[in-house]
Amino acid sequence: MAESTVADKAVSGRLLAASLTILLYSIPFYQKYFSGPPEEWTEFRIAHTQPVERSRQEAPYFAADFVNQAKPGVMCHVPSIAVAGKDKLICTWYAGSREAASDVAVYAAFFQENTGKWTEPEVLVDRISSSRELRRWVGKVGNAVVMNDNHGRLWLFYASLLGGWSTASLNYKVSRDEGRTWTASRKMILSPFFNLTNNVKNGGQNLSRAAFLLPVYHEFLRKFSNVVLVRPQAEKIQYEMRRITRTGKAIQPVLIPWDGQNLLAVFRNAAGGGPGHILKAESRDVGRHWSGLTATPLPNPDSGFDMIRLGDGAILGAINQSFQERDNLTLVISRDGGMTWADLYVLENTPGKEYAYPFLARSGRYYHLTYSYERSRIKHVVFNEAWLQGLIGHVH
Amino acid sequence: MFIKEYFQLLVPWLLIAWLIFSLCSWTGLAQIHKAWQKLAVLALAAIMALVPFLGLSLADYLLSLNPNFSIGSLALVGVLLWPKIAGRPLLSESSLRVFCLWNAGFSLVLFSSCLGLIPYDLYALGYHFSPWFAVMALTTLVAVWVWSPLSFIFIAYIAAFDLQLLPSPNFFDYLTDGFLLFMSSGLLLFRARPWSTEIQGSPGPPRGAEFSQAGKGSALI
Repeated sequence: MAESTVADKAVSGRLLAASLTILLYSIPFYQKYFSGPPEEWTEFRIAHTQPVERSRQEAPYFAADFVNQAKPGVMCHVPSIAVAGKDKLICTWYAGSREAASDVAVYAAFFQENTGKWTEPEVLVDRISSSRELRRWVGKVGNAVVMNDNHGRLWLFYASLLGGWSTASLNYKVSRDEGRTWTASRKMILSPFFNLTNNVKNGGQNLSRAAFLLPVYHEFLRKFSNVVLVRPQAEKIQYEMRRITRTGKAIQPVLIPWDGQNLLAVFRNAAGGGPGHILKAESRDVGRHWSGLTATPLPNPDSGFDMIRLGDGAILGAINQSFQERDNLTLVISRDGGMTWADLYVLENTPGKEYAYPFLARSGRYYHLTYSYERSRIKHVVFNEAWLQGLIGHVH
Repeated sequence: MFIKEYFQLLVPWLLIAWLIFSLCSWTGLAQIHKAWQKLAVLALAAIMALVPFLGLSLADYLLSLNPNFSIGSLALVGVLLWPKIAGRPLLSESSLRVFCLWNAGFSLVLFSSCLGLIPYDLYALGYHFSPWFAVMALTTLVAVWVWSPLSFIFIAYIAAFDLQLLPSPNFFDYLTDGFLLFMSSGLLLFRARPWSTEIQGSPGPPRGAEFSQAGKGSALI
């Protein structure tokens, strides 16, 4: 009798534990298939910015200036630019004694379109403030990207490092008042292996329902690219990451919106060992799955670049038009989805100098380009659709 | 958010406590037998874990190196610490060995995927219910059916994920992390000799007797 009671208890215990297991696993099953907002990537749509309305009388406009002044012993790199309210833009970059040094900080300056003036650069985040906000030890800070979402918020994604670049992990700050104040930094967990390693270079792509895609890249043991689907919520963000590339050494992805749920991604070619071309891949489901890599005709000297889709569907790129050097910066254009390209305008071309990490953004009628100028200053170029159309008329 | 902030401090606290117990045992500096001594060690570990020096606490420094201690790590540190406090092991040697093998094996597959060493993107399938959740559910049910003590840990994985107790939104981050791979691999290597002796010399404890039977622990357990 006693033995059967013990056996009964054991069976009851197992049934209870088994029921609990099934119940606990049924919660994520239910959440995915029966409740809440759709979680599937394919439920989102790519949000397009409104085409630029070009007035017939609009004169071509092109101007260039510097965001900051050069200082002895200070290098500047990896700029990004985004709209920060009416007729105002924010530019961020990192600066310090050298790349990945402990004194590197992420700086920000604001540009007033009506006056054409930049404000004095201010430190947005450095390793001390990052460490204090994250409550984590931060050895240094690195690449930063500022971007707009569809709800008037500004997002700053930046890398914090324990050591070299391969120890980078991503953090974010949000501003709801056009960049005047920012939330404390929050860390993103994007890898189970010591959160190694994800970094940013280019801006995100807005989607429907206030979500957006953030292109990131990995360079620990191998070099490849990922895309993070970010769904902002009241107090935090939900995010999930998908691999874009499985072969090659394609990093620093640029997301170019196409139609419906189609995306084009182009990559810096970090393969080295000979002439490399800018690589590309396509997605037909908002970035969940990607095609294999193919090479574009554009050269790439293992350097960062940026591209943007124009109102008429063409793709405008700012690249180093060289297989070896970063000593030129050229605007290029494609009207057939990246199959063929034409040079539009040579922005810089001085042998022995470096013009790197261009970043493109649109603000109303103007296109803004920022890039690292000889690693000592951040240069800002602004032009309008009429200027571009004039160049395109010459090319064709 | 409040619970999540404090839950992630659990592993650093328990890890520091285990290190203090182990250091005392290895060096012979202090004999910790009485209940108040054990409570004092736990309190000291809590102070060391939580009180900041140079701006950050020791727990913060540990979380800087490993930002997401998994439920697997919590279980392993708990299993290592328990004999120091209760005087008897929580898991038998064979169950601990199976747990370490599971941790190391699963971690190697997952990390190989995450680090791009294999082309399959396994980590992406941990954000929402996927076939891998079904595989884990079946594994848990098998562990429950054979009444393995590991089934409690397996149930804890999904319970913690449902409650979103960790900073990561990915289920696989509840199963393992870098620290767990190194700890489990270290234990497998460190205890390989005692385990090989056990396999050759004795049949091991009867199945299901882990929680009631005192094992033959080394200084580590």
